[in-house]
Amino acid sequence: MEPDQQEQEGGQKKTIQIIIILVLLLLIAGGIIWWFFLRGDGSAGGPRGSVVPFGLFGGDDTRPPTDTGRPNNGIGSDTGERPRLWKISSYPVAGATEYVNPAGVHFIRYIEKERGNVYDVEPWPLRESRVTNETIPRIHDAVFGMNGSSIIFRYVNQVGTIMTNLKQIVLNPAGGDVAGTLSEGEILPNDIDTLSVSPDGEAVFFLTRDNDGVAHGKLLDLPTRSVSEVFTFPFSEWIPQMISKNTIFLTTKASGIYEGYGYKYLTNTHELSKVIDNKKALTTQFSPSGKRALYSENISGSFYTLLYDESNSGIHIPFSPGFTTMPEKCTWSRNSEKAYCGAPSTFPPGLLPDYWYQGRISFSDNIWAYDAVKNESEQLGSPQALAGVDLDITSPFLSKDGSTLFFINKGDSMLWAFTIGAPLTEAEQTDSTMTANDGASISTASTTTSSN
Amino acid sequence: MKNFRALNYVLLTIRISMVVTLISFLFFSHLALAAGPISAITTPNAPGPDMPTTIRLQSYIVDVRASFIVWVVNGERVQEGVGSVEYKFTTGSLGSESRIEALITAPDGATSKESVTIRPALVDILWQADTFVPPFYKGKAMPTHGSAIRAVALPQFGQSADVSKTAFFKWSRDLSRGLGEGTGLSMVNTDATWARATMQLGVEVRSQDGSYKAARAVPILSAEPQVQFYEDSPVFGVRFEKALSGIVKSSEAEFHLHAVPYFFSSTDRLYNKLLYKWYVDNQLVRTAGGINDDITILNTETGSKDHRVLLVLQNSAHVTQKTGGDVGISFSE
Repeated sequence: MEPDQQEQEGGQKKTIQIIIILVLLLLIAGGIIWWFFLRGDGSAGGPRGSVVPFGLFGGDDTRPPTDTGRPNNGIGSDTGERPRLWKISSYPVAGATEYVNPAGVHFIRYIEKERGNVYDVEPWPLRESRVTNETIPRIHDAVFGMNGSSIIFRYVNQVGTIMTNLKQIVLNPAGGDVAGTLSEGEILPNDIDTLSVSPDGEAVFFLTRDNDGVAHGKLLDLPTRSVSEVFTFPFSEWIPQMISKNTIFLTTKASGIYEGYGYKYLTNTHELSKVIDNKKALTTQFSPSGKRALYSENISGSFYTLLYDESNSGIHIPFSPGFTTMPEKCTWSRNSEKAYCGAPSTFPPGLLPDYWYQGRISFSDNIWAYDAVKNESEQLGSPQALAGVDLDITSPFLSKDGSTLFFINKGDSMLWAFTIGAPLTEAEQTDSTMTANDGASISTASTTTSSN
Repeated sequence: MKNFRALNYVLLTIRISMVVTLISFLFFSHLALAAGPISAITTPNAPGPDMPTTIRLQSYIVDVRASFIVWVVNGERVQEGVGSVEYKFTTGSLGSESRIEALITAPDGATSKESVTIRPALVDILWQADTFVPPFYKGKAMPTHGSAIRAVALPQFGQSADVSKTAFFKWSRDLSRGLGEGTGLSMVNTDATWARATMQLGVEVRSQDGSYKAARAVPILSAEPQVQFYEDSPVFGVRFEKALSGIVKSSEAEFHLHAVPYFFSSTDRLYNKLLYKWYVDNQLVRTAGGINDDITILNTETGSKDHRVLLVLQNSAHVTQKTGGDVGISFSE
């Protein structure tokens, strides 16, 4: 080999080595940047960015926040802080709750609609693990009790009967692919029409109807699995809401053209006393104290959301919450002072709540906070402005620390999270046609409902 | 002989007339005494709590318009004057009691007293129609012509506990037609009127001792049955959250359509009285009684990818309960 050729080859080798070193340096630098800036909190597992529906890389972004602490554009951030609004389930959800594990870590536990598998999710950074893998297909809805360890699944069998099954999550001490299994389960009566879980998660009130059309309200005590009948009434169209083991609010099922009533029922004395009288389109969402409720009413063809406040003059006095929505799109803070709601800027035409229940109309909700003490409202965010999505909010609940609102989008049953408390951007504010605490704007925003 | 018989008939008629007149005199004179010369009329007849109410004095014997009248409520003078025949007030809350007295001094100096005790009471009418809605439906089942309606009266008398077993109930429909009355008759069954017409369902209720009374009437508008279509997903089940209308696009090999016959009589549906006529692309593909809520549309290799599905529904037990609806299914290539 000629010396010139050797020198040339030596030079090529050096060049290649330099390129390799440069590539390695770039990779290391990239890794460092990813580790410290793009990865979130840097803990093992990392965020499951694929379910975040927005971001730098085709929806996989988990951008850190801006230096203002407010998420960039409200949907992601530049310093690893959690977004304002993000999707947290990988699958359509039949029900969800907040679960605190023995180590004190908070998770959102949800049940997948398709197979009935249970998942735990750390909301941010997103980390999801499957808790059970037993298949219970086509779940319609599911509720949790006992800190997420008891589950009541509900589905319709092939002949159209509502089946209700109570199961317990049994954790697998040996570990493995999944954290636990579902207990054999107990079949509750067929055709349980409606049910409600107590706020402490230890009791369930459910209603069945016998062949004579008589409603039977039963109380299931989850720790003991005992069932006792606490309510019998010849009228059965009730929507129950448990405030405590002794107190259940019963609201008649609503239609926009018929009057409804709301009652408080005390299971220990069997006393049924009326709290809301004779309102068309009446649906309710009572606060944990039971002294307040948001309720809907159709007044002269327009749909309104109003406040029932027992502590104010001792009777129900309607206040304007500044926006109009279905009360079941709302959830109350623990102290019963604030409610967080999904509410549309405009209502599509149609009789409410009938058309919404029948799936004939859907909403594109904004997220509102309502201070029932001050009677003030504030729009917290718009999913359209934040993420370009239309969300029809159902089954909302607050995290225990009150920082996050979780809800299911009715359209596709996906579970979402919304960070409460950050100020609105200008873009979000301009998205709404309603202003807070503005009585005049309510009638503008509410839509005239039509008789069917 | 004939004249004698005719005379007997005349005498008999006169005797009967005299007896009837005497009985009538005794009866009505007793009634007048019992009622007194002045009566106090309360409007509304059975006022509820916090309700504007009027008491008016009437008499065919005493000239109350020329009388000096003092109104006293629970021992306190609240109104007085010549011809003050009317007293307007708002009733108290549930459980309250107001004794209202009118002290009347007639122009001739004769005095009398009328008193009324108001104990506001309430009665709610809760009613439900026996019409079909799908499982988990959170709304009210609407009544349709001929469908059964069950109504329950829920009286509240002061602080008393459940009084339904001891109270007296009198039910009516459209103010005139009685639907039943009796002690403890807190529930009644009837049927819905014609579509788009309204029935007034009323109840009057009073306590065993008559001290409490309440009344209420509710309008019940009859709706028309309707059909809505939903996708019956093999994965998720029937997707009640979204009713299908217009044209639905599908990329699958088949589309499972589920129809919900809203507000047909439940019992009739259960006893297979509903007649389903399914049409696909204007061809009748199935006529069947019973429960035939589902149809599968296939995406065939050949032929059109767009299909129009029409369902006509009729209740053979209540022929006015009928409806139809259609939806388009468009398969992608």
